[in-house]
Amino acid sequence: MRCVRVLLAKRGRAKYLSHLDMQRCMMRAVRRAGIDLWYTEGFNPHPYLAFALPLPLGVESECEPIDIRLEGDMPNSEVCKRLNSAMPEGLEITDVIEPVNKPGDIAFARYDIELYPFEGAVDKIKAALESGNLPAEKTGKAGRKKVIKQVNVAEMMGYWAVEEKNDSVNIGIVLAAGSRKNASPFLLLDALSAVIGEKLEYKKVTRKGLLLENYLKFV
Amino acid sequence: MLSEKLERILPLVQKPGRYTGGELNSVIKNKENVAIRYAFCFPDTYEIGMSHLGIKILCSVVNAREDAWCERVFAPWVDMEEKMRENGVLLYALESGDPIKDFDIIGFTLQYEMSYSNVLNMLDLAGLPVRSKDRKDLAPLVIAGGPCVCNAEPMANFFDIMLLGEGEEVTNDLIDLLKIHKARGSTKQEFLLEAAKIKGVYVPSLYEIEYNEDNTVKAINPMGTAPQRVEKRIVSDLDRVHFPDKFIVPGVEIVHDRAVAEIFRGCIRGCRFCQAGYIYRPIREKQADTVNRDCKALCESTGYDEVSLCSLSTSDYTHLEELLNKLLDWTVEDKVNIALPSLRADNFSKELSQRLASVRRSGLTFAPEAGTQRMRDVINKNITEEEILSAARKAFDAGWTSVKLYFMLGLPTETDEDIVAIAQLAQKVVDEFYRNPNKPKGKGVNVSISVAPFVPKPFTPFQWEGQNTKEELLRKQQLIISSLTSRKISLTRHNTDMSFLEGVFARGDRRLGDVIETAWKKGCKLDGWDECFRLDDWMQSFSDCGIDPEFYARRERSLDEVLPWDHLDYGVSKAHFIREYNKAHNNETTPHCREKCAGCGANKLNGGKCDALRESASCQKGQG
Repeated sequence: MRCVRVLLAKRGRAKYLSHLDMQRCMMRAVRRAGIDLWYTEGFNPHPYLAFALPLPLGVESECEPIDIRLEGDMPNSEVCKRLNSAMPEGLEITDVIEPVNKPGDIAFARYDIELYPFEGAVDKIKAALESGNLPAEKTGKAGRKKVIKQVNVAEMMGYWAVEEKNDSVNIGIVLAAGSRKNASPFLLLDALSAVIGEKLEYKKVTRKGLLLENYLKFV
Repeated sequence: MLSEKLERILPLVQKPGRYTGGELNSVIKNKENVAIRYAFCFPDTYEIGMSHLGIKILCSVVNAREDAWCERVFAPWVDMEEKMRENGVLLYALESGDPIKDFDIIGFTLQYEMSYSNVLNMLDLAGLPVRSKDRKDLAPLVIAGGPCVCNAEPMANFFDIMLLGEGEEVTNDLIDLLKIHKARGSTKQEFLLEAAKIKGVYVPSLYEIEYNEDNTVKAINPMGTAPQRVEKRIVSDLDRVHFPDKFIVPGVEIVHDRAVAEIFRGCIRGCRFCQAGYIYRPIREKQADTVNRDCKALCESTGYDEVSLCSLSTSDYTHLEELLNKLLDWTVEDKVNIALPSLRADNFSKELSQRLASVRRSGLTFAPEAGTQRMRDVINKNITEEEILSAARKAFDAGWTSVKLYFMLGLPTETDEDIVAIAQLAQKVVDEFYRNPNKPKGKGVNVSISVAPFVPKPFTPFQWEGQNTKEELLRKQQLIISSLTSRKISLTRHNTDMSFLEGVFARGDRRLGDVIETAWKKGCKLDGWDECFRLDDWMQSFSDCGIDPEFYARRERSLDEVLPWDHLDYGVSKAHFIREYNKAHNNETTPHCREKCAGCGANKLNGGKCDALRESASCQKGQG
């Protein structure tokens, strides 16, 4: 048994597949690809397949790491080739690598957010991002109960840039990601909408990369 | 690709993956290169429709042709419909995203009566008039198929054509004819008159219905060249019929998310309440090699880890042993689970139970249907209490700890004794578990009983029977509850209001079309869903149209009454139904078709052949 890290790009209408959908989808792709999966040896044998960080529904991605356990010694390039021939529309395997970091080490994710333009968009967004105060409501857990928590998205941000392009306003931003602290791009948009007083409508949100605590790339 | 309009809506609705298309194995063609565009509509949600085998077979049949492109359409959930209407998005086909109003054929499958209002809603969402007579052009032609068209008279005003029986061949015949008439520039009426000459094609508008003063049907008169009786189509040789080697693999989770292979059509049993047992006759089996090939191809092309065998009664398949041996040759190694639904308790063998348990254990369900032997004789279930208990014993012995039992309530001649016996039978199954010395340690048993109200259906020996009232059914449900003696037994009840409406439409006539349209205009849709079902609006619609629903549901018909479906011929003769009706009322059973041919007459559809009896000569000629 060996573990490989599959890097997946998710584009176009595949973005409407949820985290659970993706697990089923990958499992079937691996089966179609004729790749020999390692199965657990318990009463109900099942394969091991783990996504490093769930991707919110509606977000595209260039970099979803999925760890899979395989039998045999098929070269990574062959695993990659076979998987790509079995993937549905919108899903592409960009690489298959030996895992270095642990999924728990993910601290940040970098996003590109493309918005429909509105009057004074760039200045208003910049001002809001610079203000250091972006309150938002987030559902969290207190024990087993679901509770609404007040958070400040400004405290969960890294570097950012805002620019105007043809028919859209683009935000590039680094947000906290992972099991300890996590801010989804939609949480940011909610907070920005509230502060600016205008409903920010997105054309496209893409996760561009995952980063460690020291801002180095997660591999 | 998705339109910008759609992209702006999708983030606002639940499970948007249902509305995007783009699933693995969906068929994309160049629309410039096809003559006929076919929208195959399932009048319920994506999760339900995508689980249906018929849509997979028929889309694949059409797409096997170079000159036609078949795409899928499902009913949007309430939130999506609202957004579509708000933003002017017309109902579109999933593969191309094109509005279906521009297609040549819009085909609905009618699987259950509670989906009727969805048909109207989908036509309206497509931007089309719901009534056939208001759609003047040849295209789009709105057609229907599926089990309900054996009496879809309540829907007769909305469809241009109904296809009776199996669709694999008649769909092609219809497309061929439409191609000719489209090229010729024929009118809709010219085309319909020609189409009515194809076997299995029923054009409702070519039949005029006369009524008696007591509201029963007086006569059904064909007009012009339309045939007196429309005979359903069947496929003669199932080993040669088209079966898909690929299924579309949905991204979002659906109800039955697995590969499915058909093993035979028809049923040898003759349970008197069961419409499917009669309308799919005569019995035709597939060879084990064919089924094994189908299963293997599907698992390879989809990546599914479960394959299910589809028929009305899996354990009646004569090649089951051979098939399971062939399947287990590769499924164990490939970690593919085999699901065998529709098992009968009387031929559930120990070997079978062990086979099933060899890959992964799923639930086990038996359908005694009734509590006492007398009641089971009336419905011709031909299964004894000892057989049920013995099947439970074998299941528990093989390690199962939960068993599901299906029953019906409100059957003809039913007494309170029969109802109390349902609870008693469930208790006896619980007792079997504790009597078993090999029962798994530290585990309890769970027997769940599901009790559905009996709904009399056309083309069954009970088609003349009255349905129980809601009050009767609720009292009977309470009687079961008060008769339950163990916490190991759980009870699932069905919505009696829904069964009532189902009963009205199952044996309804054309006049109910107005009621369906009125109710739909009041906002009735997705009636099969408890959260959407609105009985009050339906009852108001009956009264608005001056129609008494009890007339259809409650009334016992006399055997010589003209039934609204008498002009439709599903092979089984009325004489056979009358014989079975009389036997039911004398508590007499009829042996299954392999024991003795009962002369139902359905073999006439297959040139006298019937797989229930290998030598066709030994099968009696239809007696009716």
